[in-house]
Amino acid sequence: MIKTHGLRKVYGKLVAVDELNLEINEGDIFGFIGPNGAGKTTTIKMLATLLRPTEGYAEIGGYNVLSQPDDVRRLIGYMPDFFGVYDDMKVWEYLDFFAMAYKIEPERRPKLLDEVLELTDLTVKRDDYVESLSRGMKQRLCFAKTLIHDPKVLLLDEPASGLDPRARIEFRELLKELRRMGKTILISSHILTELSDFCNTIGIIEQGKLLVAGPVDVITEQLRGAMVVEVRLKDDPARAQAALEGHAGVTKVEADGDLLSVHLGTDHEDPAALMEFLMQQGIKVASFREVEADLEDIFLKITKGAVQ
Amino acid sequence: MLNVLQSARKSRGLRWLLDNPLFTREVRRRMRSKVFSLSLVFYIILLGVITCLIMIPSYPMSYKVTPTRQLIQNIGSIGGNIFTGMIWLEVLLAVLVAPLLTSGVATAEKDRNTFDFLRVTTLSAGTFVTGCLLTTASLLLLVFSCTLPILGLTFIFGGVSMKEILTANVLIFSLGMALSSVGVLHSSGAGRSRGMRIASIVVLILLALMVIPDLLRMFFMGGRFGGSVSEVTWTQTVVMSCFLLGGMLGFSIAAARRLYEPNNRLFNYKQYTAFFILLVGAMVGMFTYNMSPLYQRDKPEGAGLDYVLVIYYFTGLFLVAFAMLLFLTGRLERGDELWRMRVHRPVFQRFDERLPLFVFYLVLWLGPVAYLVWRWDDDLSIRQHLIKSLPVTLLMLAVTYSLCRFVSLFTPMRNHAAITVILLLLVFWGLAPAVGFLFQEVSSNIGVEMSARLNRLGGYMIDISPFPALHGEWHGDALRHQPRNLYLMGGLALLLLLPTLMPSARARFRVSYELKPTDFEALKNESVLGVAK
Repeated sequence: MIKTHGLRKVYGKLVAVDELNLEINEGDIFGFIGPNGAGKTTTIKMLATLLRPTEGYAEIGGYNVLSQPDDVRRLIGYMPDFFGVYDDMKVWEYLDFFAMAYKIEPERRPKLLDEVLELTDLTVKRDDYVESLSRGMKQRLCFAKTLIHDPKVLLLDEPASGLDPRARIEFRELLKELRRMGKTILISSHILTELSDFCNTIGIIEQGKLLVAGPVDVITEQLRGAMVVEVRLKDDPARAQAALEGHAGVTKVEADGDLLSVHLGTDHEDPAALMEFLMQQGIKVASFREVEADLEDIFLKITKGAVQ
Repeated sequence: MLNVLQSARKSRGLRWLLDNPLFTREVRRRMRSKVFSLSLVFYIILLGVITCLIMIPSYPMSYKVTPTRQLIQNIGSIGGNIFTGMIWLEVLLAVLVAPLLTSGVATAEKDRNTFDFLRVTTLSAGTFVTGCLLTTASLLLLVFSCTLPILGLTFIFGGVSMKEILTANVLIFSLGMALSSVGVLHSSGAGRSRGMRIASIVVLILLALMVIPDLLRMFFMGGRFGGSVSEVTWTQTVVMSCFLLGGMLGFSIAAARRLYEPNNRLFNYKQYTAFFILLVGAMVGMFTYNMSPLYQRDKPEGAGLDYVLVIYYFTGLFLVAFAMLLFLTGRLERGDELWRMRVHRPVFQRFDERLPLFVFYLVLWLGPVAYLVWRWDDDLSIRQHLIKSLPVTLLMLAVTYSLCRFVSLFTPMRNHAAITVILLLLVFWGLAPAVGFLFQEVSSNIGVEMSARLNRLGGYMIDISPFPALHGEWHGDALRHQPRNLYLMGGLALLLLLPTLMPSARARFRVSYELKPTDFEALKNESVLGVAK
């Protein structure tokens, strides 16, 4: 659904996005991860036809972003990280304004407005003025505006920034609902827990370069390398630590009270064998679990923390 | 949710007008705004106060002391004066308030961070600009409607005909719309900086100052009632309105184009500002010259001639500079692509993608010339001068155009091309006639046969330049060898143009995109993960 090849954006001497190759399939939820200033917003703006790439090619739904911007705009819904609203309008008027901007027939607008308001849980605020809405509500209104023309692709640039925890959870549920509706979503964020829940593909960008991209599980598998096992002991953690450090395949053991973090090498054996080894040594184990690598681990492993 | 993507379509007819989101939003906002309602009330009160101030002092005095016939005339003058006052107010609103309102439309969207929202919709730049203009039109019509009851008083007192009220309103409306489109043009190109906005306001005020005196002169000079009511005919009204609304169309197209593509070169902000600075400079210069004691002493017949001449030269030269900017290289800059794809017709593409721009600038320039012709309609000689010198000016542009095309065959660098074109123009139009005059001077001191040849050669060198021809024309001499001048300039234009029309040369004028489409089928075999380090 979204393809880019060699996409590049240069501002003077600054290379904001460098040779970006990306392919997002229909129905994918693509998490675009990167530190501040990595080039996420620039990429999204180029895809949203708001910025002209310096070089490269990008298409959405088979339409060239540069030469067929009108067709692309019909397909996409764009929500920026910072946005403004028309304060002196009512909620329904605001949505009607954008429905009109998308040239949606007047007869269809009322029904469409109701549907979008219901989806974003704003029905009760229909006749309220935009200026009277809270930040979270405004964010939802902006999202409702993004959905007004039923776009197939959503380009969301840090959509949940500035929301309280409850609003974030509600927003996440909304995105899940949209995933069920078959939308292709490109969502950028630097709050990784926000994305880990519902993204099936991710791309990590730093200093304008895409470091890695693909399905979350494939990347996790590729990048996890060493496994970490957490062992909580009933007694004598020092003896257990000494025993584990001498065990083949264990690269490092970190102790935190009665909790041991055991790092296994890349060619490690089955963790169950490690459990068996501990029991053979007469060490009493209260709990034993494999620590799963999450997006944060992957992000920290890949990025260098450099900012442009 | 409904698949609205399929249902989105272009609206037609009157619906197109009412379906303009910007227009609808502004009307809603205006109808809801207390400030707007109060402003309107204040305006109506102001109308009433002005009317009273005009009416009360004149009426009783006339009644008490004047004989009947004079009384009728004096009462008639009250109607004329009320009309004058109302027109003054309308002019101020149309010339100052309306464009200032539109000059902040796009910048306000940018300030609010809502401009990107509009850009990602299917709302075209044209619809945006149309929305702004519709809003202004509705405002002007509302203001005019408020004025109508007061203008109705003039019928009680007499002295003003319906035709005069209508022509005045039509002209002021057209002027308001034209100036509002200038406001939109400024707004479309401006960023968020305060400096840009101040610059646009300054240009608008300059423009207004240029227009107001002429407009008022049209209505209030030479009237039947000592300072009121014009003798503007319907034909003049229609011609002027067409010119103003045509200007509005041109400015609106430029504004629409610049709104989403701020870097494009059609009617760019700097060119536009330079144009008016030149025009204002010319007017101020001529005004100073007209007022100088030296000029007053030796004031010739047809005093407006030099005034016209300077404006004509300035605009003509500016057009040449425009043409140079536009036609210097065969390569369009980034930012021009979308315009080219949407608007240019194949017939233009086959010849030159910039030809429509050439025509646009020409029309833009012919407007002021037409205005000058109309304004000095009492001086036939000026009109004749302007009309006669048009072919020379057109050929002057043709030579510039051909030269720019020709030079761009040899260099893709704009700066190199610019210097080369300027040097060649100086040679053709400056050095050649100077040497020609020298030859003719020398020819009088040498042998007869040699003298005739040198004299003829000198003549050709002089006549390849448009300036001696125009100069002769302005000063009432017979136009210097006009046919030869036209042939020489036309020949030169053709000579320079022909090599650029060869197929191999035309290939150089095609736009080359750095943005190359990619064969994604070939890329499918590559894993996207392949880019991971």
